[in-house]
Formats: sequence, C-alpha cells, structure tokens
Amino acid sequence: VPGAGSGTRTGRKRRTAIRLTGARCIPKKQGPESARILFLSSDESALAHVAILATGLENPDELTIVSATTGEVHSGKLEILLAPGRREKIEITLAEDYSGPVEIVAWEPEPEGLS
Amino acid sequence: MRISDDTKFPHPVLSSYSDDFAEGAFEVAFSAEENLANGALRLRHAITLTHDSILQLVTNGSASVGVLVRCKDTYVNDLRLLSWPEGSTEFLPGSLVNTVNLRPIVWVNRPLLDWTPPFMNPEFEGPVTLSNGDVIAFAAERVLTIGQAKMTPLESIFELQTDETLPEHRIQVDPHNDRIVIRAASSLYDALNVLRGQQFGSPAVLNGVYMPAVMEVLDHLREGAQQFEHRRWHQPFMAKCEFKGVDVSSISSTLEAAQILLDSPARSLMPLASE
Repeated sequence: VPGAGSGTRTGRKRRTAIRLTGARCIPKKQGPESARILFLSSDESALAHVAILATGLENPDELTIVSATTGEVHSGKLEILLAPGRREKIEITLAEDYSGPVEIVAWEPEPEGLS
Repeated sequence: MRISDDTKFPHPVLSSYSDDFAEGAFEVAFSAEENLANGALRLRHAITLTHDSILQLVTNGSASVGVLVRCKDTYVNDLRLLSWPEGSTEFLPGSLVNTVNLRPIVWVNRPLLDWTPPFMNPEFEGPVTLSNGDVIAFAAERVLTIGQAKMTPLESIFELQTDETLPEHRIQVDPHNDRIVIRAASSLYDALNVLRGQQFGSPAVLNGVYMPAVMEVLDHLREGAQQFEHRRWHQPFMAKCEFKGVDVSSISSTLEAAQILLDSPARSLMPLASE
C-alpha cells in the first residue's frame, strides 16, 4: 500500500535494536591506543551484532573491530550471545587508534535469507 | 561537538544516562526570554551540581560549565560558557531560529593525573588521567523553539478541499502535502465553507473538523515524524508542539494532545449555550 508503514529514510529493512544497559568502552590499561575493554549487558536473551560508532561529529563513523576475546568478529562488528542480566567484559582491538567518545549499538541479525 | 544521551566516554562522566558514578547529579535549568520583534534571545540558567569532586574542580577553576548550542537552520554550533552557578547568556537577533538544542556540559581546563573521584564505577579500574578539554559531566538536552513559527495558528496550516469520491458527510485528512489537506464530501464542503464565515459556525468547524484532523495528524506523527520533515506544515506544527509541551513521540492520548494544541477548543462552544 503506497504510503503505508513508517519505513526508513533509505528504504532499507529496519533492524531490531537490542537495548544495552551500562554499556561502556574504555581504554585497556597499559595497552595500545587501539585496545579497548567493552562492557555490556542486556535484559534480553539474544544473539547480538554490536557496533561501535565514533561520535563527536554530526554523523557518527563506525569503528572497525578486528578482534575480540569473547564472541566472533564479522565485517568489523562483534557477534555475541547475550543472556539476561549477564555482564560481559570483552577485550577488543580496533583497526585504528581512537581515543574519543563512542556510541555502542546492538541489534538482532536478520533471519537467514532476508538479509 | 555532538553529544547524545547514548554517548560513552573512555573515562567516567557524570550523567543521568550512565552509571559511571553511583552518586551525584548535574542539571541545568534554562528559561528563555525571547524578543519576538527582533529575534534576540536571553537565556537564563541555574546549575545544579551535586558531585563533590567535580564541584570542587568547577569552583577552583579547574573545570568549566558550558552549553553546546546547536541550531541547524542557522548553522550555529557553539560552546558557550555558563557563569557559576547561575546567570544569563545573550544571543544576537537572528542567530537562533526555530529548533535549538542545548546540551550542558562540564569539562576540565587542565590535565588531571590519576584522578580518583568518589563513587566512580569500579569497572574503570582505579585512577584515570584526563586531558585538557575532556568532558566530565553532561546533562539532559533541552530543546527550544525560537521565532514566530510557534505562534502560527494551527488552522492556518490546513486546507479544506472538496472530494466527490467521499461518502456523504465524511471527511478525510491527508498529511502528504505541503499543507494538511482536509477533504470533505462535496455537500459537506459547501456547508463547512458557509459555517467558517459565521460567528457561531466557526466553533462548530473547529471542534467538528479541525479537532479530529489534528488528532489524525498526531496519529501519523506518532508512527514516524521523519516522513513529514520535508512538508511545509511540519515545522510550524512541531514548533507548536514543542511550545505547548507536547512530545509527539510519547503521546498517550491524541485527544488530550489535540485539546492542548488547540487551546481547549470546546471553550469556543460555551458562548453558544448562553444565546
């Protein structure tokens, strides 16, 4: 139906966001600038794709994750299984040095065949 | 600089959107005095800061309180210093128009080595080192609507049209135009045009047509305001909402919200009862 639904600005499928609680991404003590410790938890049980966005400018840029001590890294994003209330502490390495503020976003992967 | 509610810093930052600190609060109350004739703005502020360590940094000059001011219509993106603990800031006529976002922040004016503020979340693992300019607190964003748009009568952004395909005595609202089109069956259209010109007819049109039309528009906006951002009616409508304290994203009753936006339109029926 033309005009039905709220849609998105780009016409892409809408991702199902996962609400994270107490997320933070802090430098690893005595580590290189690209090494960070990611803390996150959720009230949901879900397989999550997690991305880190460099903020501070009008349009946030996604930072590429190259390794993680928990979960798997695909296309610069972390894929991790979240359990309700379980606090995750993950050492990650970014592709480049970045010391500024970030936003941490998580969403459920689309079912096979839809993405 | 852009700070959202979801911004995470690599060091502890006092805000109501994180648990970086277990105690303490930072808030800034703003009140705007607007000169509607020339567009000048005076912004009064009162700062509340209840974290002892950060408070000490501010009062001894090691940290400053300010506000990030963003106005996309005038390309203003400034950091203004706020006097402690209260005061006012002047903005030149025309420098801020329509939607203005205010994000209060506190930042350090000198490097801090091995800072160990009380109530810091243990996940930060001990002392932190801050560089000159690092943000150590931010408060909730305040959105102001500056200028004449909020004073526009809502009725002026609607347009009444006839639609012969509609069943008799029915109306339909179409927001996918530069003005919000209210379509009416042809006989009803003629009657509404007559009523609009009558002293005792306009309250009937306001309550019987505009009121439900505003509710319908709020329904559309609740589903997603972004799709209407390029329509000319959107800016004055949203300005009115902000001015009246109606948050379209969290409306629980469109009836209640429409009555607020139209200044209790049933009031205009009262004189009819005394005739």
